[in-house]
Amino acid sequence: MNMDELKQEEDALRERVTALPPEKRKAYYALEKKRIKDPDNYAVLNYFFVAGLHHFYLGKTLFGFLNLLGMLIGLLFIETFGIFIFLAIIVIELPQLFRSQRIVYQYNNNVMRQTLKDVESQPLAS
Amino acid sequence: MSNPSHWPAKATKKQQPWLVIGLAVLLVCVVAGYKLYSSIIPMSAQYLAEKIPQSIYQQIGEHGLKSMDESTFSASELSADKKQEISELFSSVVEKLQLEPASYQLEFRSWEETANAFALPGGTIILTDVLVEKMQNNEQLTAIILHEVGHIEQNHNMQNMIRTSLFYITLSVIFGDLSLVADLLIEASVMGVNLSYSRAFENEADAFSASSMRTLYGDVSALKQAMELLHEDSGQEDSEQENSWLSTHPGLAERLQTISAFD
Repeated sequence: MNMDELKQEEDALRERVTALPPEKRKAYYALEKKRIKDPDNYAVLNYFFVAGLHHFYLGKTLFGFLNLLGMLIGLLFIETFGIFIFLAIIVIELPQLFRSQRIVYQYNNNVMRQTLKDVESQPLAS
Repeated sequence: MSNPSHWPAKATKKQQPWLVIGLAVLLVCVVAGYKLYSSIIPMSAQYLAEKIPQSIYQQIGEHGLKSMDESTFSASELSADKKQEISELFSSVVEKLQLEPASYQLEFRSWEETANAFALPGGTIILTDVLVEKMQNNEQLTAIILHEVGHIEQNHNMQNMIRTSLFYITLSVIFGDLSLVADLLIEASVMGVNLSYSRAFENEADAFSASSMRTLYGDVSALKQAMELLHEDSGQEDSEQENSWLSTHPGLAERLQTISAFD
């Protein structure tokens, strides 16, 4: 999805939020505030020297762990082939730095969708 | 009215990753620090030390000797015959080990009651009068000289300077110019690492001396005896003190163990 499509998707989700009953809307915003991610944080964690942190930030534990494992192996064998592991991680992960706005936008739309689902599935308290 | 805190929180917990991020950073910092200390800095220092021209070594050595002459040493009181005897012994050792004679100069100095020997960048080896008097035979003296030759052959002085500088630069880059606390931490770390590298270099020089003694005399007993004599002279009877991580040299037991590997 490009940024325009993501914006349209967000607008549609916002309309659904607006249509919620007031107490569910309040609950929705409380949850959304906790769940959404900041693209700047994502970008900083991406170019921070420890690989995989941006994946952990978005809850992609497996990818984060693989990046981290690669970095540790690279460090431990830096005298021989370790440098090539670093280069491979950079080649694979650095492009995400330049797509961080879009990646986090997409993530946040998914979070909004999931949060709406969670809130809508809860019965109203009497 | 419903309380928002009663709404589903499972995903919220799952998406609070800062603890995992903190642990990952800590883990990488520990591994990176270890590799930096044990491998990256020593390898870089060795590479850089080999690239420095010999004239720089000579200048550093000359300035070092001049500085110590002005502040620490006085002229040797050994007899001319004794100096001549040791110089000839040194020349024969250099020749037998097929070392480059022009790379080494032997100097004698007096330093109060201190029995010590030094190697300076550029190949100057200094023996103090007390050390010469303390050694009971030429083999023991040869062992000590060969220890200093080991420092020169393996370029320890320059490597130590470069290692310490690289470590200081690395910590300065990480901490920046933040505060007095950071400065103190950097200074303390540099000192600790410097001492640790120093002990490693001493072990390498012992190994060089032991290997050369074995080549020259067929055994390493004279080196062990020399170490024990110097240890007695240093007055370090407390084993905890001598193995302290604040020591520039390894403890006697560790040194004898290193040497015994060449028995």
